[in-house]
Amino acid sequence: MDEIVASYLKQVASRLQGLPEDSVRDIVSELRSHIADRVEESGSPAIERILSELGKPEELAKEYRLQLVLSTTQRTCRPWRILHGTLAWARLTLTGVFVFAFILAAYSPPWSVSPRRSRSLCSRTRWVCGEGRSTRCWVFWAAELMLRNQL
Amino acid sequence: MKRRSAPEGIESWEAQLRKGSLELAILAVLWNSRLYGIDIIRTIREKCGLELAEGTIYPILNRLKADDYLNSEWIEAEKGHPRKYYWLTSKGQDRARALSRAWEHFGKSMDAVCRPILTNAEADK
Repeated sequence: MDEIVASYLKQVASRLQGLPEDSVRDIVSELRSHIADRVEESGSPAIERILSELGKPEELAKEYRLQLVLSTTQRTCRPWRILHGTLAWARLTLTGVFVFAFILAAYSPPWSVSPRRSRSLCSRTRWVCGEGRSTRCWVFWAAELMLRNQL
Repeated sequence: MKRRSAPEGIESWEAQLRKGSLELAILAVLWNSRLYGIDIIRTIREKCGLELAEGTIYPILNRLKADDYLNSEWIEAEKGHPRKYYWLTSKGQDRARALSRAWEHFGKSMDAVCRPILTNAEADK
């Protein structure tokens, strides 16, 4: 049983690479504690059911990453943060890849939304931008909205 | 929470609704309480009737902590293994109040809009 749990936790940890080591250790300890609690309730034979209720390691790790991306993005509306968050999202899902590609493609396009409309969008994200930056503002507003809504 | 002969798409809609309300449910069960993971899951199931997948709660707890809405501490149990307890910070309490107000407002508005539908449905029976 210990081997199954260890293997499961190892898979989660390996998919959380890139996060601070302390955070990964804490996440793994908490999951181990959860599994131990559930084993106390249900007994060792239920270990596979317990792990399946927690979810596949890759899906669980993905959920941790998505939540952290969301947290980082919500704390700041700075463009590089949103770009960074979208890049992290792109590494997790195909939708993220499209959004990231959209941002890159649209960052300096020849077209532009009207400055008036752009300012009203920007005020929602608390990002004050000048007229020359209207397109970028619109693009990042859209990216932020997608990042927030994807959960 | 499964219903017999539920119209197509209802279950996925309910799942989205449950997922969307999970943050408020977590903040609400931690109001005046210090709880660890399984305790939070149990309380949400009992009090809110939300059948949530166990794996969904921990990433959200992690985010709420990163956002400074929650504090946590590992506490050694007298018997068994250490557990990570969570409680609301003052910022988390503000968040819980704000979300509860928004929920109340939203619920009342939706009730008012849906009442004629339910009244008609009962009359049709």
